[in-house]
Amino acid sequence: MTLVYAGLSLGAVYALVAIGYNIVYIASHSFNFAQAQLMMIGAFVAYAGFVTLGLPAVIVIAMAMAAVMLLSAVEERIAVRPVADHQTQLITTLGFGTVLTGVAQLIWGTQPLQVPFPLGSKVLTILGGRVFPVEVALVLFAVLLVVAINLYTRRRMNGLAVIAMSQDEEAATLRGINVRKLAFAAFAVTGLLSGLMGVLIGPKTYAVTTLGAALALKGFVALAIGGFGSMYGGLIGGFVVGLVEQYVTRYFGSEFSTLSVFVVLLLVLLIRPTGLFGRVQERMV
Amino acid sequence: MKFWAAVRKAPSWTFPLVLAAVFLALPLFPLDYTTSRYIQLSLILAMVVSGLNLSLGYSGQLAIGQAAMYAAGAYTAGLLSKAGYTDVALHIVAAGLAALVVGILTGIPGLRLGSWSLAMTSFFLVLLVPDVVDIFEEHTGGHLGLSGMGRPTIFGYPLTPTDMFLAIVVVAVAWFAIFRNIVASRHGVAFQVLKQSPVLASSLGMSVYRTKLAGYAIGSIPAGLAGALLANLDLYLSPETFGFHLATGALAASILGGSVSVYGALFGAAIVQFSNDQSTVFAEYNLVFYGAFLLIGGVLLRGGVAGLMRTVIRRLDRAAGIVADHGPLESTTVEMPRIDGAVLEVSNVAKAFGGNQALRDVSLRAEPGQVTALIGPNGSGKTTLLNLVCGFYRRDAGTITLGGVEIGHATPDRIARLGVARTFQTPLIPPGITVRDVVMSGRYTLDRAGYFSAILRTPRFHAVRRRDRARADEVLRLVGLAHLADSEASALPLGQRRMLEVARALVREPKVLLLDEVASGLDEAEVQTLAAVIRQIRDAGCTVILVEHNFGLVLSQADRIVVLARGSVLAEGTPAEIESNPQVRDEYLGVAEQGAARPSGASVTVAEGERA
Amino acid sequence: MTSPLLDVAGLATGYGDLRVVWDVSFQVWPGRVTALLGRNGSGKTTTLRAVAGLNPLHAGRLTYDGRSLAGVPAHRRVRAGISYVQEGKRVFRQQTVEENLLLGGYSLGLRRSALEAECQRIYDLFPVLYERRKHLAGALSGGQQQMVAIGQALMARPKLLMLDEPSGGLAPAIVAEVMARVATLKESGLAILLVEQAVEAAVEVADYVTVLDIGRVTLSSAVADIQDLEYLKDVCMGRGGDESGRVTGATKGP
Repeated sequence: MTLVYAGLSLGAVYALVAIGYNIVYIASHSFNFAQAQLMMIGAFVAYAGFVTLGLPAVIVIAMAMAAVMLLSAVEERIAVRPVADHQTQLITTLGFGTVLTGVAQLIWGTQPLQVPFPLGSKVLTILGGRVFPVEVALVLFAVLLVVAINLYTRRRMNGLAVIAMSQDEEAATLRGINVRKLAFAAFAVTGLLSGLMGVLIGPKTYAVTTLGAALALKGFVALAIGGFGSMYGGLIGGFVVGLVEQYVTRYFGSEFSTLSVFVVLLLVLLIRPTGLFGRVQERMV
Repeated sequence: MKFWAAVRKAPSWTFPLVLAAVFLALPLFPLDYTTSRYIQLSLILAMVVSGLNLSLGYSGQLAIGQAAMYAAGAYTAGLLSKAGYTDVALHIVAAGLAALVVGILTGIPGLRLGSWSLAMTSFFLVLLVPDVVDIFEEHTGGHLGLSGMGRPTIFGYPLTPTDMFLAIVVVAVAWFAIFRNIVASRHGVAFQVLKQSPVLASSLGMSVYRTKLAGYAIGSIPAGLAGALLANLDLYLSPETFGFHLATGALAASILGGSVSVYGALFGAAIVQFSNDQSTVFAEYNLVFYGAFLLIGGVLLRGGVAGLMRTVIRRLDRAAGIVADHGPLESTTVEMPRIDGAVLEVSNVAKAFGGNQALRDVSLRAEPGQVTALIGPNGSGKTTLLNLVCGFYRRDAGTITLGGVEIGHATPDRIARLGVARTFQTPLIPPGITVRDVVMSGRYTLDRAGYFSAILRTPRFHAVRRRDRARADEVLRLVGLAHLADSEASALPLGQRRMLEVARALVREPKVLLLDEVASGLDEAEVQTLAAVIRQIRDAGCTVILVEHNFGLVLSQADRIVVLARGSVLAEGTPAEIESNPQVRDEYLGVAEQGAARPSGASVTVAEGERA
Repeated sequence: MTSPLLDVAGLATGYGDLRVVWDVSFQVWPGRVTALLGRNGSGKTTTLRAVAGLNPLHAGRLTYDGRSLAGVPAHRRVRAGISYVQEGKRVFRQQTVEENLLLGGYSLGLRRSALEAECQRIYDLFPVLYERRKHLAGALSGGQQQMVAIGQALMARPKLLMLDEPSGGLAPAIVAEVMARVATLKESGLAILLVEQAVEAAVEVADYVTVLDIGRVTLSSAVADIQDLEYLKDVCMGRGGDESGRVTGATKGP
């Protein structure tokens, strides 16, 4: 069971990356390569808040959310909005992510930093398996977030508007929806959420800049498995990737874990490119 | 200006030749260790970047995993050397092959995927390098690195550091010569056509899969060669060299220098390598620089440094009067050579999309030497029929034959090679190439000159290129664009771009020419010129199919008109017959069906029109 | 004579730099229907899109309620009272009828609960939508989707309603129903700009007709002044009509 918990909690991290990808994709059909790096920055800010400054949890969380939201807003303006085609957007968001990584390295160095989890770090035993509190929190958070997002897009007007926008941008504009502003807002809100995600993933993955790219790529695998635009799909996809990785590490060794995720990616893209729940095939260039 | 004009008259290979000579001379000069190492590493990186330029810049494929091929080449050379085979020439060949295999294998998923999936899959390779190295730890030394390589030799003769420098320069120069010869040829234009639109590429007869694979292959080879050189330079390999730092650095170099260029790779690599080599204080800023280059390059620097140079060159050209920038279409009375048109016969074709029956039992016959017009209201199925004939959809029933040969099962590029040429509702013109290049690209599959003849500039290559130019110039004179042959094609106004598409279709000597709403958006004068050209093409014997909304043009130019409505053929006949056919008018206007009493005056019956 | 709610003068527009409409002028008055007729490719939809703000204004003037529309982004024109029902029943297929109608009222800036009350107006006009309000819009029949589309537009409380081929792809009985609704809406004081290929259906409800051919006006007249329907149809097909674009009658207001 310990293995299952490890897989699920790691998978939750990937699922959160995939959720971040999804929100931006649904709102503006763009792909934000810097999503994972933004979450990492949240983890670093959490480290700074807890360890360097010794601030209470509520303040740290607020700091992380504010910082990453600001960065997201800047990214939308300079890396996404001015770029028309999706190929170049990949390059510019990759560029932004790289700048984030570089700046984080300058401020915090390259060694992994341990981020404390405000709700304790004693190992729990649940159903015969050992699990850390942060791991439980991660899984719960991922599930609740997906449920909350689905509720929002059903109940609130702006939630409805974002779903409408993703189906037919022109028709949405003709109903009075300011598509540009909403796309920007979606980006900024993703930033807000990513800051919070950073506070949660930091204790699990450590705050380390080099992990950003690995999270970005494995989060993409989660997205591919679940299907572009599907929140539940991203959640399940994340869990699949996390479980595969942990089981392969346990039974075959850690050198094979990333390779196995790659194989999963290839299989999904070749056999079912739209993913399990996706309706949209990723645009063929 | 005169100086500039004289410089431009020199043949296009003088600049690369001078550049090559400069590089080859470098090892002869007494350079200090830091400088010579900088130059060697820059050349090596430039080779990796050139691979990126080919896939990202020229072919428009986000295959960005060169770092993995670099690693493959380096470790291949390293392992060979450890095993006792220290010949650099052998390393280069083996490394190139290793990189080629990795490139093609990992490119295969990209054949069918969209850009994000291809980008992520290829970038994922970079993640895998340390793991693969660890899996084969006994041979590769794992994360501790590969050591124990022997001194490099060439045909048994051991290489001193100066010799190694020369070897690196020679290989780099040779590769860039190959690269330049490939992209400064019809193949370079072909890649750019693919980048612009795979649909366009198919319609010119190019096989999209084969061209993409060629792009992946050619793009991966230099990374392998570079790896072999690196291994022999340092006699030590560490898997960390081939990580994200390198991958993003190579991308940044590509964008900064200009992805759609040959020499841009050298410039970009020099800058990135320079920032790499600074003291550790600066080294920490590397990633920030790379990221900034990618950001700025993607947003602002359209085309990088190479793009800027091209703009400057174009301005100078214009000032020196070498190139005309724009001008109206010239009218011509050039004789068109005979065209061997074929009969296109569509028989009882049906096509449904989900529950929507787009075409129902449609038949039509287009004869050579005639203009057959296809008209009909929105939703009548004109576009579906056009796409069926071109092979972009498969029909559900019926047959489509060209000159008696069934083409219903063929792929779009095969159908194009069989002699069907078309224009598009929105002209598909790749940016960054001249008008003449666009027309020449139409002949890509008519005359064969493979990659090797382009690289070696064989007599065959030159002969084909002469033919391409000659035919292109002929056709440009015909459509009145000859005076703009050297201008940037995508900068032309819409009417001329439409005409350019007609020229490109015509240079293919097609048996059947499909014109898709070619008059839309043109003003009266341009429509007149277009009509004249269509008449000439028809008189020369081609089978012309005109899909149009412009009634005036259709009535004046068509020999036969076929009217489609709601997926079936409503009427067909001569312009006079169609014009006076009351059913045609009623269909367009959604009027009450025949037989119902139609009182004149303001009181009317309710429309019964039911449209697909 | 009341002034027109929408005054289009010398309009030139198209898609990007492709010009499809060269010179079009017409007016729409409150409580009256102006019909734009002509074959496809003549620029009718392109004109509506320019009024809605989706296509660029290459030349000419668009005056709405006395103010110029130039520079006003499309989503704000909705708030000003311009509602455009595109052809092809472009509703949000993956959302329910109810959600579609709520989205129609987005520009009112109300909370969802308040908007739900607004929906009642639409349910009164199209009772079948109330029965199917929880169904996905994509599962409805063509005619019902058209009702959703019109309902969406009406939710925004428009002053100018633009309908693009509302009869498209519908059975005759449904077309009659839709046109009857249009007549009702006219009576409530709405200014209606109707684009149609179906000449007879359009003339049934229209007060004024403007015929377009390849981006220019070939005929502009009050319906009452048209004696011969066959002649009107000829003009729509691209024959007849004089150079200046006016045949009989002047385009005077009510």
